[in-house]
Amino acid sequence: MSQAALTAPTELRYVQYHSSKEKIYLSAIRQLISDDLSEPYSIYVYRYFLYQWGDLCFMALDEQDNLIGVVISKLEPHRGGPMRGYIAMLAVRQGYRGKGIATELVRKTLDVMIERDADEIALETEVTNTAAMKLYERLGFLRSKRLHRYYLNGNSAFRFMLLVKEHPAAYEYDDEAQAQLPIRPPSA
Amino acid sequence: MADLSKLSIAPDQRDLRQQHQSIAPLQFRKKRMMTVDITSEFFVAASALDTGQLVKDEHFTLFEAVGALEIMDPKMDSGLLPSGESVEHDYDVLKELLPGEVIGIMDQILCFEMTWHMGHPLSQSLFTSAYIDRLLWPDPKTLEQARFERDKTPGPGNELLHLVLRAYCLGLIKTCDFVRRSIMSEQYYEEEDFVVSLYHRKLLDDFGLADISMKLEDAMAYVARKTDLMDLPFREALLNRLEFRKMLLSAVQLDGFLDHQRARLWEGCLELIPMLSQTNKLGLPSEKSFSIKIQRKLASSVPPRPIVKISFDEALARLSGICQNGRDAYRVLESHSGTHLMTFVLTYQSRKPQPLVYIRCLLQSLVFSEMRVLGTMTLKQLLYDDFEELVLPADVLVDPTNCDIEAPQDPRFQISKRMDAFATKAANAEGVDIELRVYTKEEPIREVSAPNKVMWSFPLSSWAYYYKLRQMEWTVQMGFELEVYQVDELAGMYWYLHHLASTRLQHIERIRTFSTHRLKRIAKPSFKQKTSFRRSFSFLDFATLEASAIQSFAEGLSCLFSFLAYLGLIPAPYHPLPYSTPALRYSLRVRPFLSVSLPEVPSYPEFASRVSLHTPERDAGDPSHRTPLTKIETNDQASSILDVADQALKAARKDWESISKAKAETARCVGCEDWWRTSVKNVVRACITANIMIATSKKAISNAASKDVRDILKVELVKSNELYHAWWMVPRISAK
Repeated sequence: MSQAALTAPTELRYVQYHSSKEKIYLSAIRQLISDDLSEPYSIYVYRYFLYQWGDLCFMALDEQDNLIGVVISKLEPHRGGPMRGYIAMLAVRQGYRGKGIATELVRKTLDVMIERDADEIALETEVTNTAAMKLYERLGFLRSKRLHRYYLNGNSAFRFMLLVKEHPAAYEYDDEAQAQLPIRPPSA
Repeated sequence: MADLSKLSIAPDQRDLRQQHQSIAPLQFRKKRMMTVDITSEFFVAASALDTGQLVKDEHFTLFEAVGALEIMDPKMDSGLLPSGESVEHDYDVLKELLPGEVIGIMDQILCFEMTWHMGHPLSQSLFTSAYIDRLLWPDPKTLEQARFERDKTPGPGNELLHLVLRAYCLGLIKTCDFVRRSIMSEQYYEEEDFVVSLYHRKLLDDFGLADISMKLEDAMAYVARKTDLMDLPFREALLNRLEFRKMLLSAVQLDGFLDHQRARLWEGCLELIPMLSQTNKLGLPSEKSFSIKIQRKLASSVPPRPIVKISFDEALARLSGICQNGRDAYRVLESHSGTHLMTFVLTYQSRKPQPLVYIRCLLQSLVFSEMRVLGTMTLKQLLYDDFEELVLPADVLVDPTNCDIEAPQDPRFQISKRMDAFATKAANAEGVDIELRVYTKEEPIREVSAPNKVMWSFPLSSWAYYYKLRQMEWTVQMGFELEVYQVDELAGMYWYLHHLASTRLQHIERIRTFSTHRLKRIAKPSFKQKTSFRRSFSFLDFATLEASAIQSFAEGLSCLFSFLAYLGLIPAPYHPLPYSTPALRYSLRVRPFLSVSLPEVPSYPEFASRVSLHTPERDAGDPSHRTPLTKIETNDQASSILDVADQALKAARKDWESISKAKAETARCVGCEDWWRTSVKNVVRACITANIMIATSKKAISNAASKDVRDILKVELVKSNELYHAWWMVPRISAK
């Protein structure tokens, strides 16, 4: 474990993103998220989320405004059906993990999704990422499906789901059929 | 993150992308298109946007956004070369090779063949070989063009390269061609399982097996003849590889794949593998003949990606797996009815390690191709035979002569018409059942006490309902295997499995009642009728035993997990969590079954009452903050639930042991008896373990006296791959 992990982080601030903050934070966000990725996302992907759902993105900043953690999400009707929130990316800097920062970031984005009338919330994590799985399970998510060889490294993923509201039974359970969005495993 | 490359392999997109990649530059050359520099216009337009502002139309999805590439990023831009790097791979494919080098190259491309089978793209495996590249590009119009010198006049000598290595490469490429076509003709589960993309190359698909086999034979003759050229071990190693390739090529060829004799070819391949393994050490590495740079020549939008490497031992292990499974797949042809076939497919597909995609597709083709089941039956024959075995023994509805009747006034003409409608369109079974009654003159069952109350058999709906229940059980059981359920869900999911199995048991009884009723009404059953009824009752008996075994085992485990939750040793079923309520999580879990109208999904209150004992409010996590759970407290609820678990698991053990002793004909496992028995034996073991866990728990409770039971028991959950059987998650319980 690195030195940074031994010293508790000084006060962190949790800040909601806004497109006006792109110049200050976007490169740090990209850096933090792509650290663990073998294939980076183009800047277009980040803007795809941040421009449309900046209010669902939260950043954990230390006293010097360094980016320690970030969560990026979206919220839109799922195939013409329920309003579905989706946690796309979650990252916490090495040395700051295991302190509940990721949980706090996820809670913040969940709160906004629920306030904005989400019916359900989904995400994927790598089946080997026990820390992330625990994080979501503690909040009330269930594993809804195992996605075979979902990631580039050949690992499978679990789709996690959280139901916010009961749906009418007529809602078709077909949401797992198509090709999945590629999304990184959140690191907790 | 998932794979950007996968975006390019969805069938439609792949095709578009390939067309785009390969055709655009050609058109560009042909039409001498005018180019205009739009840099300044572009900057003007872009300056109207704020930083971070997005340009996108409303139909542009995330899926597409993730496919966006960034120019000049080395991980995304396929045209970007680090300074000093050359575009072309400079390797001389015409240089003379030592026998050891030829063996080394053969073994390396065999490794690549296996990584491709395992799901990696050709671009990161076989297509990184300079030799393969030279044979396949430019696209050879004749087999003779597919040689290393290409247009140059072949010089004399260098036969090890031009005769031996070439023949091996051609054989290997053609093997891949057959494999790929075989896979593409079937449904494979997920596109992630296998990458069909050829990057606009062909795998010698225009050339026949015979020509390529002849090349292999020529090469073998050459090696056998040239006794002076190299030492015996090298000669043997080369001959062995050529022979293996020829055999494998014949085993995978598409024509005549339904022939039983194919199993022998697979067996022959299997016998040659040890020799490949022993002589691999004679091979010399030829790293330079492989390069990721060759990927730049392929029609692909992604930058070169690393070569996927596996060891030769691993490759041979995969290869042995393919050959064994290939041989074994032919045993499916022994299945002589739908029920046997069903057992075969389920047992075969669940073997560990899981058969690779090609093999799964081979099995599919054997089961059904060219409108025939197992090469002999029509789908209608299979279905009718299954109707007969389950619900309609010796019944006029499944009489094959019905379809010969051409007189509409004959009831059998009407029967045939309606049965066809049901079988081909899966038409509303109940409606068809009601219509058919008129023609079969079915006599309903009347209760003696209430003669006005009549019960109809509904044979087709019964048949469909039986399979529906069976599939629901499998779906729930697969969830255990895939570790989809969390610990606190286990009590509930085993309860649901128990519920489904007991629903099936009742349904089997219903079917039996009607078959018995019908048999009684036949004054003098013929031999044929008797045989048909006997077969059906034998099926119903075994299905009863099996459903009862599942029901009891599931009930036992449900109670065991409830007990553990009650003690706080595992989280309580569907306990409240910050963003979710128990009822919402239950809804989510049963969502796949909500569209199934029958059987109805139990309501949450019903479900909850079955799986949670009214656990006292207590904090399971922190021992200092909890109220002690003493023997007195456990005596009532926890002990009684342990007793229920105990009884159920004892019954389960008895049932599973009976199942394990069933004859293959009775268990409907002809063709796969050995694998099926292994699987059942594992369930018996799991069941015995569960019984031991109950005994351990009971003993601990009775010894606990006034101590908190939680302090004397320890629970460990076992990962699904370490269980005796992945569908039965027996926890390890021990006294502390």
